[in-house]
Amino acid sequence: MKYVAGGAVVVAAAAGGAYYLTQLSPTPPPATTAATTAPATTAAATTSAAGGKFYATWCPFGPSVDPVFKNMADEFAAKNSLTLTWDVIDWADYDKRLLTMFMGGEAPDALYDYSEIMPMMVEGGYLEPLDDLFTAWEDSKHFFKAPFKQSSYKGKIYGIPILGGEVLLYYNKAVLDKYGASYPTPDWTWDDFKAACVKVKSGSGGKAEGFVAPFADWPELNYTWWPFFWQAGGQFLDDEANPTKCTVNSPEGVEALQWLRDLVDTNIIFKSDIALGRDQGIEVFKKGAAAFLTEQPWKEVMIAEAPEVYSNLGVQPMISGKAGRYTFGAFDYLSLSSISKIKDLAWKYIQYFSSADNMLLYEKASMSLPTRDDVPNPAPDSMGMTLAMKYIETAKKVPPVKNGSLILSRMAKDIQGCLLGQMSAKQALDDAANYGTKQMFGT
Amino acid sequence: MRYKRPKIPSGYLFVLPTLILFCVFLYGPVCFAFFVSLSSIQTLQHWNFVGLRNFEEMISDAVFWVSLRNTIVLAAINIVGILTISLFIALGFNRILRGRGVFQTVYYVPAVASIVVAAILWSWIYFPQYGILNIVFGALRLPTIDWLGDPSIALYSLAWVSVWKDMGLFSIVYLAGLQAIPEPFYDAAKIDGANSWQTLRSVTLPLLKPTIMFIVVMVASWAIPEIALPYQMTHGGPVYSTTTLMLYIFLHGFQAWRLGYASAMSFALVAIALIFAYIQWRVFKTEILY
Repeated sequence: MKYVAGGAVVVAAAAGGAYYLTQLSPTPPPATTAATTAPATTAAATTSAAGGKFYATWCPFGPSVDPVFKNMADEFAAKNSLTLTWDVIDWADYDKRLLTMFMGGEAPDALYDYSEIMPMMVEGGYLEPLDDLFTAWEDSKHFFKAPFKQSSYKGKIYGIPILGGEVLLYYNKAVLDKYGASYPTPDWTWDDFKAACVKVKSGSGGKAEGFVAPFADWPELNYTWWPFFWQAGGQFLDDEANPTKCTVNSPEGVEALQWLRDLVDTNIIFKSDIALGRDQGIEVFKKGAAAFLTEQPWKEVMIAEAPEVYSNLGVQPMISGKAGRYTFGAFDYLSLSSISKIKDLAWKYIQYFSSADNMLLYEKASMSLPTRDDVPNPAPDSMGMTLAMKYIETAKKVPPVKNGSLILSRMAKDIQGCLLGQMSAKQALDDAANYGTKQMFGT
Repeated sequence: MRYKRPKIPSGYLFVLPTLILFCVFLYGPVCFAFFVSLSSIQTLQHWNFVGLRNFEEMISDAVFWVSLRNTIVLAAINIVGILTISLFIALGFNRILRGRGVFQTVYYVPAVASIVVAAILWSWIYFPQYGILNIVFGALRLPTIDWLGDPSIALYSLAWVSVWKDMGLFSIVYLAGLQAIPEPFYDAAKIDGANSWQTLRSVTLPLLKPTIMFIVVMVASWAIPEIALPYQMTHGGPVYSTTTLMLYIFLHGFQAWRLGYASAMSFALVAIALIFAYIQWRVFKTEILY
């Protein structure tokens, strides 16, 4: 019996090894296989499939918003006589499911996309560059430029931005009034911000918090780290066009982190914030014992759950550092699958969703930022939306890079270590930069 | 009379289906994972053989060692915590004659709750400013604690959630073991003049050895690949203080798609599990005879 069992194991191992050998590449992979793919409009590359199937993936936005997107997709399918498969995949599983689909050859024709996963998709040759298509589209002149930095990789556009968010500075007027601190204005600098926080701290005897600043993981850094990093003049890469290393540990970066560390050490940011997640930070702000919070307009509905705080809510654009006013802005986009057999229809789908009329509909439902200048304010009742649209070109995000989530997660832990006093700002950012460079460039 | 070995070729046929399933779904993937650990997989389409480079990177990766330590500490706390707390609960159950079922139900409820639900619940209990624990501490004029934000205690805070969730379940396992101990042993101890502590130490615990071994095996097998609690409650922070090896493997394998490196680390996880299994076998290998 033992020989039978042993033999079966050997056979299984050999089969696994044989399959493995078939997967080995004889040559290194090309930088971007998608770059060599023919444009979607050539007849040889595409087949319009009127009456055929169309497969699109999306991410959930909530029960009040998802039907808007679904109805739009159904309308597109009806207009083009298509049988639509509309696959809404949870955010946490989206990248994994997408990659599995592409590997299995059952990939969508058009997909919801964002910069955390886009480089991986491009490196795998799964996305079609859209430069030619976009340039030829007469609507292209209406799109804001800043969002395209997030849908571009290695100089090519891989997605059309359709919605986004931007971080603003929210404040509780009641708290500022109580401790004699002034309201922020659009020309506020780091010193003005800190001065107001110090008044809140000293007036309350340390009980009220100046600035609620969660640092649980890399998504939280978008609200409490990157804006200040850019305002100080920091750059994530040495050269965005031809990067060779991660440069978060520049003197400007160290200055920004040291400034945040000072806010923690002087109890303007409570140390207990550092492990909080973003929504937990909002809960702290809703308790009415904190002055400032950096958030996006669509989170106003969450703050509105505390009427006494919401009725005293004010908002301004993010403050300015010595390098200027910068804030975090994230834009999601629609991409075209390079293995789609109906690329022209997929491009029509993208155009349909990113038209001005349709964009207004889902921006209204989702309280997101439009990416076109011919879309009116979708949320006039939101105190932040008008400001966000006015300052959209100051919105930035870390450029899409290889192993981005690993690099940013490491950076979050390093920043936590600095803010908790375990390492200096220089040590924290040196580790983050070295790790980032190694993960991106192998050096 | 010569003994003839019975011929049962059909026995092989009976075990063959299960053996095939094991090979296809267990041994085959394990062997494949080993080959993957020798590769650099870029974007799931381009696999390059890199030899032991992933293992070299693993050895030089400081966070790997931190996560390994966290995994071992978490497993040890789970085992010791559940072994002791569940035993005390079971001893209490054993003495209760009326309403035992109610108490068992109350203690068992956390075991049937989803681990994610437990994680979210305790995240709010541990909330630094407004969680109920710190509110009680404040009312008692005790200093408040940053349960999940202090790197020196965050791991223990997570460990408690794991112990809390499973102590009811294993108290019932203990209770079954206690009730299987023949009464004459206790009678004999009473006759010999043993007090409660002596009875527990010399009669109850030795005779509970099979139950204890079962609990240790089960708790270790659940605790070593722990991912849900650190992922949900702390994202592995602050400063990697709650990053377990399984979470680190997940981040590399399924968020960064570094499958080769993740596979290499998964073999380290298997090694830990085997070491635990060997320790358990050495400690518990003596038989119990009633």
